[in-house]
Amino acid sequence: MSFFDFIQKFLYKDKEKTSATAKQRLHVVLQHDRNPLPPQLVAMLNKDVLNTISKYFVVDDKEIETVVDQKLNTLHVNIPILKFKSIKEIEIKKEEIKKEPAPVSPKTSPIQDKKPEPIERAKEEKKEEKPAVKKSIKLDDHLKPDAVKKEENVISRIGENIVQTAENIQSGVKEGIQKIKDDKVIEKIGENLAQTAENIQSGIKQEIQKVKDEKVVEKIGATISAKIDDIHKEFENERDKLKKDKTIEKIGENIAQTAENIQSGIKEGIQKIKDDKVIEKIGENIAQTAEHIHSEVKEGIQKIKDDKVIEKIGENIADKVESIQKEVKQEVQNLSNTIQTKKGKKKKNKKQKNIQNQSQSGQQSQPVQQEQKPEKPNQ
Amino acid sequence: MGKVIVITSGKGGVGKTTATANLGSAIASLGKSVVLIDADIGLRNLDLVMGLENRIVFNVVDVVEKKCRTFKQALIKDKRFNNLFVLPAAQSREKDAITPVQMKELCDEIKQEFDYVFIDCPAGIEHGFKNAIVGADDAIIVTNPEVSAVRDADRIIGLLESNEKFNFNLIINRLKPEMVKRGKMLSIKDVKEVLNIELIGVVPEDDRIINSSNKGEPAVLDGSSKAGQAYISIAKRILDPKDKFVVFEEDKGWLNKLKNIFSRGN
Repeated sequence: MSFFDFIQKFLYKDKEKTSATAKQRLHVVLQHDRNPLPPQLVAMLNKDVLNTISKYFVVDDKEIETVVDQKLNTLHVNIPILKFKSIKEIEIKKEEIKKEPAPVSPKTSPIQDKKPEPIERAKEEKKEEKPAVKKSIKLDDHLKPDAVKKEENVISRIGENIVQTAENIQSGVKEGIQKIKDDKVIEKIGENLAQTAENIQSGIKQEIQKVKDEKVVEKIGATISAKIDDIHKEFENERDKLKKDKTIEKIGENIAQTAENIQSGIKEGIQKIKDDKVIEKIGENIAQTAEHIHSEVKEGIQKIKDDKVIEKIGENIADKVESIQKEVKQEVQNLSNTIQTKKGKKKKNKKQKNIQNQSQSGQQSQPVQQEQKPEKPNQ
Repeated sequence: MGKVIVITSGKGGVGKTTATANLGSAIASLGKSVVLIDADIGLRNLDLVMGLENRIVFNVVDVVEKKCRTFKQALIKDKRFNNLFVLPAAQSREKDAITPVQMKELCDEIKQEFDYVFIDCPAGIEHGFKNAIVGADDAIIVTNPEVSAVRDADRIIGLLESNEKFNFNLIINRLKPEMVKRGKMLSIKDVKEVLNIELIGVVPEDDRIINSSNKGEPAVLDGSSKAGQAYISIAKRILDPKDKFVVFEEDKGWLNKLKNIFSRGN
């Protein structure tokens, strides 16, 4: 920078360099203008190009870059080559492709065709794994099929990794062999090869260890899930039992309620008798109510019979029935006393007859309750 | 056999017509026979810039429609140079009055008898552009150090490359060196880098260009016009690509003048 440039810079304080912005913006916009290929076409092209190129080179398929240079009327496809393949490799692949004309995908099938030894080993390992996995799966197969699928996926992935490792090893060995062929200093190469082989071996071992670890984990998981299932079943049984207990309780409560209702009904009836002069009908009502109670109690008892925890409820019921009975007796006694006092006062024949009927109906309710007592010990 | 050079830009207003007039005049002044064809049918202006608007009888459409016997009948001889001619555009016709085939035939015919044929291309990339480039051997792309002009120039370069294979060169017009120095304008290097084509010359911004178009006299005739001097330099390089590349610095301002005085010593 000269002295005058410095003075100029000093004088022109507006330091914003818009030319740089203009240049940058132009670069961006022109890059877009110049590439006439739609992205879908680029993707298709990249796929086809990769399929072809990968027959001859090991390439990094993620770094592919496709640009059309309009100025030179040329297509630029940049693919980083990771490895060069030897002619023998390519020829072998071609032959195998000819033999098997319908590969699943052009990328994977030639690679799978290559391997002779290590992949077979990997396959054997796979075979060993799968039955073991299935055993562990069987335990919770009907319980958790999704989990099983996931596990299968994991295992297949591990298997793929092993296969991949084996493939890598294979290609490494091939490379090593190729080098040996081309090179006169074989010893060093042999050592390298041995080293590579060892590396491969340890890699495979690691993968196998991973698989084993996975299997152990799987088994533990299966046993845990089985145990959980057992606990679940036990819990369900307990819950069912509890539910039954609750039904018995409810029945007992219903019976008690019914008994209480009866009691209050009887009390009401007695009250009515006390207040009403037409006692006959009331006596009949009482008899009817008593019959209802009787049948309801029978039903309740029938329900209790079905249950195993009947004894306690039955005893409770019996106690309650006894107390009801006592109360009824008391009430009937009171009633008869009052009636006798009334009879003594009014001395009317009609009323005497009615009272006799009433006392009979009051006695009718006693045998109903007496019938219950012999039934309880049977249960 | 002569050479047909189309002067194009894509964007309008970057100085195609001025460049055509000045390059034609400069090459004619250097002793070559030159024809300037205005291909901007409907918007003719080359005749006006050259100061020949009152002499028009026939135009380029008349020539292709055979309304005159030969193209020579439509050529307007320049006031200043005997070896410089202008074939004007039709002002009252549409751009599709001429087909590319007719234009190609015309160019081939003219270049049989003249050293250089310059075609003033209309702005845009449509019919007029296709007509203008179809008969050309070389192309000169005129652009300004400004984003829209550079972008359009790039588009034009793309089209020229895809259409036909011929040489093309770049003129950066209306450059302000003082602004470039301050980082306020795309530099020659910037434009060259973005467009990536051969640069044939740089024309500085010059108020005298308007002065010369006002009078209808090309700036190359004005010895004090920096732009005119730049066009003469470009003309020399068209004739001989080995000719020295001259970039005219703007010398306005006392600091620049001082600087020039000091830098002469180096």
